[in-house]
Amino acid sequence: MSFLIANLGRAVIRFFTEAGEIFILLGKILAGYKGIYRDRQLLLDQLIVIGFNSLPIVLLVGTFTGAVSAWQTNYQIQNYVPIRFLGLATYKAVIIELGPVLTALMLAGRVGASIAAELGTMKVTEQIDALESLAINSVRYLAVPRFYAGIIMMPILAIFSDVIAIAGAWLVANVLLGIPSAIFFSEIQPRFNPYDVFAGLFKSVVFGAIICLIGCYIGFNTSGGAEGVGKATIRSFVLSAILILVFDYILATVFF
Amino acid sequence: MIEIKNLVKYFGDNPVLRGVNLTIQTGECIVIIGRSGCGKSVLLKQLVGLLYPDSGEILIDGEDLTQMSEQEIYKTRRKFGVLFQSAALFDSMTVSENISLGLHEHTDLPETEIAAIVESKLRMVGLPGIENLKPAELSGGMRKRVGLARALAMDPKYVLYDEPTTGLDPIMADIINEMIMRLNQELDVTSIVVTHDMTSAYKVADRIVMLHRGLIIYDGTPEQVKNTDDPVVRQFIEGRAEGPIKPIPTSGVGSGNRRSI
Repeated sequence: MSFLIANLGRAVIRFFTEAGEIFILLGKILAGYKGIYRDRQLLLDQLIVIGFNSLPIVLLVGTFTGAVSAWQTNYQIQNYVPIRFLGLATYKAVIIELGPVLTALMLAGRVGASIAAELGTMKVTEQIDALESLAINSVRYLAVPRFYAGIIMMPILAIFSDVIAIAGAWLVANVLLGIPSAIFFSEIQPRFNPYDVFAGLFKSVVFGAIICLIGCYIGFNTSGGAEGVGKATIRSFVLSAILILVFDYILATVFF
Repeated sequence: MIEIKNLVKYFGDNPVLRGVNLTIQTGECIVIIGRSGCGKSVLLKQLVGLLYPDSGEILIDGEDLTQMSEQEIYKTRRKFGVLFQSAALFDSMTVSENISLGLHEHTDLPETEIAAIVESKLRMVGLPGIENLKPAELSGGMRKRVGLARALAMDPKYVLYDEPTTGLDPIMADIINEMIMRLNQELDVTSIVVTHDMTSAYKVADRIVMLHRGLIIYDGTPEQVKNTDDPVVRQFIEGRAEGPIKPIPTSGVGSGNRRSI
């Protein structure tokens, strides 16, 4: 019994220690905005890596997200709701929920895990110590550009994802379900609410922050050689994915 | 001058340094010897603030590193060049970018001047013309020498060498030893070398200190070390399994309170 309590106590202490360390890192990164102009080349490199290089996978996921949501929405509403609402239902689901969340989960794997692996490798091969020994602040040099690139590119990628998802939904509705374009879009235009778009994009900013912050934190705290880097990569994805879903719920209760 | 006073460092419950006292005079080449895992690298990393001591003082030119703000520590680090055990080259950068990184970060020198400094440092370590190679294209000895060129790029006052000859063939190890001696004499730097390679220690040292069980247990010239009758030092320098030195428990080492980032 005492063994169980001791283990539980250790887990609780570890949880709060790590949470505290993550907030300290976040504080240092947020304070690093002052050096962004000076480090614009580092930021630009990360905007390309995190944003531009992620575009193909985001577009692919977006297309199928829209397609499947149109198909399944049609199945769910066909006997209860007029079919002209299919476009509106799909659009709302994509803009508010599916676009930001699925894009974020995809990038948690592609970007977050990659940051954790890259920084983790630098950590276990003493490259971060080498950076620090050159009197270069490793948070400023490594974490700040990645974090700000993440929060800039995530909403942009979400916009691409939203647009391609609606296009995918329209394609399925029009070609496979035989719903004319005029009917598909008929309820979207009059019920368009900029607040939905804002809420979806705000979620994306938060998810981008989570992905890059967790990737950096886990990367900086990697130990144990190649095995440690592998574990850090997995841990980064799992923790980011959990936090994305938790914050998705929290933000949903705040916004709607 | 560097003065280390009563330096104590624990990793978990394991005491790695238990009150180290050491004075390093400006311009000397001091070699710290001791078994693997005895805390030599931990001591070295604390000199540049990469690890925090639990207690004690580290006076760099009279200023206590343990009492400095983060900004002051970064400023103090510019006095140091560090050659890491694995060289720790930035593998996404070319040799030239590795060496010039500190110059780009801390100076406003024009590109032509930075390129000239990179070229001169590479010539100094005997590797001219490899500016555009990536670390993956270099041999172990070349990586160490590029790491040394990077450590020297900012013309440091103190150069720290963490196991500079480990993993190198004897000829390359001797080339590195010659280089350490030459740099110490020509550039008038203070060198602190951590090693368990006694050939290297005898060759480069003005003074050798031995770290054992978290304490400095011996301090003398290479000649004094060779002739000592201290049983612990003798066992180590002769490389005997039998003797007063017992295996070092390693549990918990490497997971201590690193400077949070």
